[in-house]
Amino acid sequence: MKKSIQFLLIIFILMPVYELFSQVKFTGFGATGIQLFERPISIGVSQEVYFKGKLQAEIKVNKDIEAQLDFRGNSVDERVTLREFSAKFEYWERMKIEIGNLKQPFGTEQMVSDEDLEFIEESFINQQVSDFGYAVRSVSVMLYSKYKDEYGYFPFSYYFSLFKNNSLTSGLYARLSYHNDDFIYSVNYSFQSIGRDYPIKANAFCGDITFNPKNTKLSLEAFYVKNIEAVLENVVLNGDENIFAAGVKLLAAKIFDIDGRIIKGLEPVFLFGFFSPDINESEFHTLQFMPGLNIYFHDDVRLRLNYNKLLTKNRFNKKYSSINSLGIVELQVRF
Amino acid sequence: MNHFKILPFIVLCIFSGCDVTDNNPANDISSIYLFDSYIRPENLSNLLANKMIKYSVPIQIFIGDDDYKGTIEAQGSASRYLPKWSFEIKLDDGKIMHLDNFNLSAQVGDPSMMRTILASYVYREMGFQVFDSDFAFIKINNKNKGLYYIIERVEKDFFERRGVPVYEVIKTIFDAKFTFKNGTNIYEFFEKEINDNENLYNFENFIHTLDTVKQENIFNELRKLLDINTYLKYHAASTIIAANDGFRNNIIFYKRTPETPYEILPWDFDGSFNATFTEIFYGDNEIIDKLLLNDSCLTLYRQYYTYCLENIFIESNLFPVIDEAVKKIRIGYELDPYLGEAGYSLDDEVNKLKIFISERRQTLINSLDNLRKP
Repeated sequence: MKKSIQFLLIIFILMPVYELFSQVKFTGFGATGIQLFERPISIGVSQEVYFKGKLQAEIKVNKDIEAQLDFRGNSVDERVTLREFSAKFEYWERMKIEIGNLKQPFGTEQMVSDEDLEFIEESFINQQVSDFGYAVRSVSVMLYSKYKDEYGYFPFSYYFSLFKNNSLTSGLYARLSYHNDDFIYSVNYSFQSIGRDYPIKANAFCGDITFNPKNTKLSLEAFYVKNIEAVLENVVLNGDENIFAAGVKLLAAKIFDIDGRIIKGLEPVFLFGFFSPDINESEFHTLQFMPGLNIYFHDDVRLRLNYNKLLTKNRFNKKYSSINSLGIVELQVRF
Repeated sequence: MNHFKILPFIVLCIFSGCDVTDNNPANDISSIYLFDSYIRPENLSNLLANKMIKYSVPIQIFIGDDDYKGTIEAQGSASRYLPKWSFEIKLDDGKIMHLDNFNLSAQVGDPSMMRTILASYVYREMGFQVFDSDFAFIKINNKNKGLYYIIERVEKDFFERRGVPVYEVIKTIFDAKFTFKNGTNIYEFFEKEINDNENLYNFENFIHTLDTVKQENIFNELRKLLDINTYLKYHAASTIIAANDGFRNNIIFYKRTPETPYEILPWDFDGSFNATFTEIFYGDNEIIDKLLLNDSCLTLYRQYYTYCLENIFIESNLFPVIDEAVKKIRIGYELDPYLGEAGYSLDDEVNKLKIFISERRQTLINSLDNLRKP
């Protein structure tokens, strides 16, 4: 009942939008699959089937102004949520302005839509950095320019964002990418100020080198971020405020055109990650090995097989524990 | 072909030298509730970005063999400014500790984690309806979040479970003023929980009477609007247990019917047993200031105060409550990132608390003969 009402609400919201603006484009995806967990039975069954979807309306108000509404839903949460509203002003080709609940530009995974990621789930590093408050969505004002081939004389992309959230945090993100043929070199910085009773300031850095010719992606990325979670745990008793987490991630993916009657392409993908929540105790860390295969029936229809192996050592697990590892098989249709 | 030499190493890394077992000692906690919870990563980051507002996200909670679905959101008022969060949980189906909607309170003012269990004991012994509570250790997405109290919320269900009719519930918000003097806007200090509307007419009437009633009419006129006996009993107990927040912050007023006077429900006890509270006879507010102008009220207050001090607030009652709770929470306390892991010692905090109780009791007994009008 609740879901039905939410879907109806979305339709009621979108229909007048569609009537009002002639140029409305709907995009999104639907996906269904099964997750096979490696976890003790005490915290859930070992297999879960699921489905999820995204409906995004991109509204062209005029040649310079666009707006966007992004709704998501999935069978686990049993509800639909508005993930993003944003408005984009394109008065200047090399400095677009976007305002709304935006994905903040920190790390390569934040720069693409979820449905376009090579893997079904975010990398472990991205999830952890997100828990610390960096790779997240925030209400913000962003200035940016994405590189196009015709910008040959100025081969840069940049993003600069000022944000504020409802957890007493405000700050900025800056990302600069240099494009050299098929190579992209990026550096990222984030500053966060968290108030009030126990104020802390946090800096975070990341950078990547990406080799990205057509149908191939090879990316090496490194993170060095203040572990806000650990600092907040320590701050009450004036503990150490200089706890930094670090991680590296290597991603490789290549699409092989098959062009068969049913299968059009195969994309083997592999991700390796290392993440330590405190670099002064780097013996405690998580390794992530994620091999996968995307089978394309169409550019926008693919069967995805991922095996996400997490090997964690921490204060409680001196030997690697593989808890929370999982295999996923998912059929995804983008539109 | 040399590149392929790395493949066996990768395969070895993936499939060997590890097991699924998680040796987190929190998994072995059995003396209190263990909430092994899961929030989808994108929902968790949204929750973390919305601490100060009402924003809920889905959560799955595993307790033993039971699996619960529901929502979680940040909870609290001043405590929201502190690092350790408190939460409100609403379950879609099923109940935990007979509740489908409850708070997980971080007790940010109480590094001993004992104050709620002690204050609950004292208020219950004094005859008050007290919210149910129990300890729980919370894990979210495999991370230890700490030791919490499951706290029953004072809503309609609270009264139904106790067979008490309820017509109106008013909660104090923060640093409440029980007067219209100096241009006080009582809507800043009180909110109506039941019925869920903005109308504070009855409460305004009570405060107006409190402001204007003549000394000789206090008992006759105010008793129609406030259950004076209950209030005096509450104030005496709260003063004795040094409930710092018990006089202007954490009082709940309720009426059983439109005709009955306001009665009192004590609420939120992590500010009690507070060594910074040095008042001996009366916590400060306008209600007690007015009531104790009346000799009958003063006599009653003295009776309740003495009864509580001589029969309830005594070491032989309170220390066993503490000792029993310490046994239950020790592992959870040590694993709490904001308590044991941050450097607090449960034994030290409990010893400090016991010393405070003994010293305060002695101070109050020594001063008892001097109890007079404020």
